[in-house]
Amino acid sequence: MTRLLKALFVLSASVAMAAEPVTLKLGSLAPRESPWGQVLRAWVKAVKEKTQGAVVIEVFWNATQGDEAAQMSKLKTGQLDGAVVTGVGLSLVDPTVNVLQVPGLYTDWAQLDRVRTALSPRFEANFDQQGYVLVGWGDVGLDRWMSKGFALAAPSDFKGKRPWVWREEALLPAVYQAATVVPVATGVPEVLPELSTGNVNALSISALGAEQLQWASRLDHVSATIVAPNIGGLVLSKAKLDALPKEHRAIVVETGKLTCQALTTRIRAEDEKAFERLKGKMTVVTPTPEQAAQWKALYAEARARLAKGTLPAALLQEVETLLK
Amino acid sequence: MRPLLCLCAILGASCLDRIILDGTVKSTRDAASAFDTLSDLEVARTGAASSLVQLEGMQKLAPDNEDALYLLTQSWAGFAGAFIEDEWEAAVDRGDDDAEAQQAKRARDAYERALKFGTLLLEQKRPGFVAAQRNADTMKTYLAGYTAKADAESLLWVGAAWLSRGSVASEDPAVVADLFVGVALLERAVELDEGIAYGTALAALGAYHARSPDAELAEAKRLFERALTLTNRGALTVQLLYAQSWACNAHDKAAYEALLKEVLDAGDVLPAQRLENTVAKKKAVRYLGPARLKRCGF
Repeated sequence: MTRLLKALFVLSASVAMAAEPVTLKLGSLAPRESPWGQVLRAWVKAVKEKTQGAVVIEVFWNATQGDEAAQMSKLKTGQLDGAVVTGVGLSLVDPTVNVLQVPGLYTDWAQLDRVRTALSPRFEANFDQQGYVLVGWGDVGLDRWMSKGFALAAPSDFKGKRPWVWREEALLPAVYQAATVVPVATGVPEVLPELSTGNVNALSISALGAEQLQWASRLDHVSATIVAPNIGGLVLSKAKLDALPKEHRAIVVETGKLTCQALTTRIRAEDEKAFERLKGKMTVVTPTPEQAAQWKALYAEARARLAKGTLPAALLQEVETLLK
Repeated sequence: MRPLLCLCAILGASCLDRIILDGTVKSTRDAASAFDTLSDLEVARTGAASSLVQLEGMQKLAPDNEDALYLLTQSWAGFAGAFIEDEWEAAVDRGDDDAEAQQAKRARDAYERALKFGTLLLEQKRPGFVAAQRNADTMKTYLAGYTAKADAESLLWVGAAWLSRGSVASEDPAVVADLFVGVALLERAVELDEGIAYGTALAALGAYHARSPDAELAEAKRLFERALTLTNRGALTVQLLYAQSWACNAHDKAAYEALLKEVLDAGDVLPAQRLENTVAKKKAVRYLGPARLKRCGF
């Protein structure tokens, strides 16, 4: 009888263990009901269905796990198992990903895709070395100059103006230094009030971002040309993934890659639609060939500054070569 | 009235019908506040649905009647907020994706309908509302033309419907992009009549400024505190929205629970807002449940 009870106990324990799903905790700045949230929720559902409930992805939406720095820190300590972040979060693991967002290097998504495809194995290896899996990329939009009350047609138009830079932004300060303009450095929450008071009157952001953050209604000029792509990606803890059975790990990673592709497609399309809407509401600024040359020179100078410490000079050179 | 009746005698019976209809609609608007004193949600829900159908008919017969346009704007927004969103939130919390999508669509449709009538109302009162939706400055210039305290009611309900549509359709970037229109309407309503509708405009603006952790949380707190002062903490929707938006996004669990507990513990503190307070109490129970606590990261 004792042996039977023991066997039953072992059996019930193993059943209970099998029934207990593994939960992957993910952080995201995106609200659950946003376009990003819609795509990610489809992923959550797919993983649950394909693993028959053995793996559950729990997303902490709307920055409930803190900003991207906090999320990446929690990912490091194991409080989170993954995060869907922008370039800011990605660069905390591997600062060289910033080369995909260097101002003035890219003119469209196709150029970014070309460089990213070439460099991805290197980025993935860098993430892997630090205990992360870079599952895929999910873009945020194409950043453009937007301004209030004046056209930012040439770098000289910065004179006497108050452009904004995000405190955590690593690249734009070099552009402002090259343009000899002192930017207003704040966090994101301060931008809307600063735009309303006129303390900030120019910034670089994607059309979709400007709309979602409510900044677009305070701006009246948008550039036809882009400053840089704004990237993001899905990062998972390697240890957590490795602890999953092989077939479940494959499901999470493969569906994760598809999710990133879906995010990229959806967000690029939404950004394009947002730009079309802004064109109907703002004055579109198209630099003359002369002005375009001035921007080109400004960005080249900014890149030279970035190559002195922010990014490896050789990597910048490599990207410039890839884009030729 | 007598010259009008004489004119009607010349023009015919349809004119008389219109006078009666206008009078009926005006009486309906004058008596509408009685609805807010109800405490039975089932009666209120059935009654509100019937009234909507009746008002739709009246508006069809008198398309330029401002009272009808106002009542339809307010009623569709109120019905969606009190009843459809309730079902939407319940579906979200129980993880029923199909029901969530269905109720979100119902709510969006209701707010769209409110905005259809609201737009007609504002264009009739002061042409140029649609054209002014270019940016915050053009909207502000347009709204400066509303100078009477009595205008605040119309601006409030169009603005409230505008922002509420954003909350049930936030997956649509075009809707989110135009939230500034609703904000401008509510800001003007507050300028004209700060405490309008028991702090509803202030609280709606507070909820907007607390829309995410990286929004203007300090401004949101200021607006909610002002609404609490003006209503003497009697309009419980203020505390509810304060918890749901500000406390949640500021990750202040103590404030979240205290505000919702205050809603639940309150008695019949404001009979003129009994219906709204009953709805707030029902929602407060949900917001203290595990699904909503988790949404806030608590």
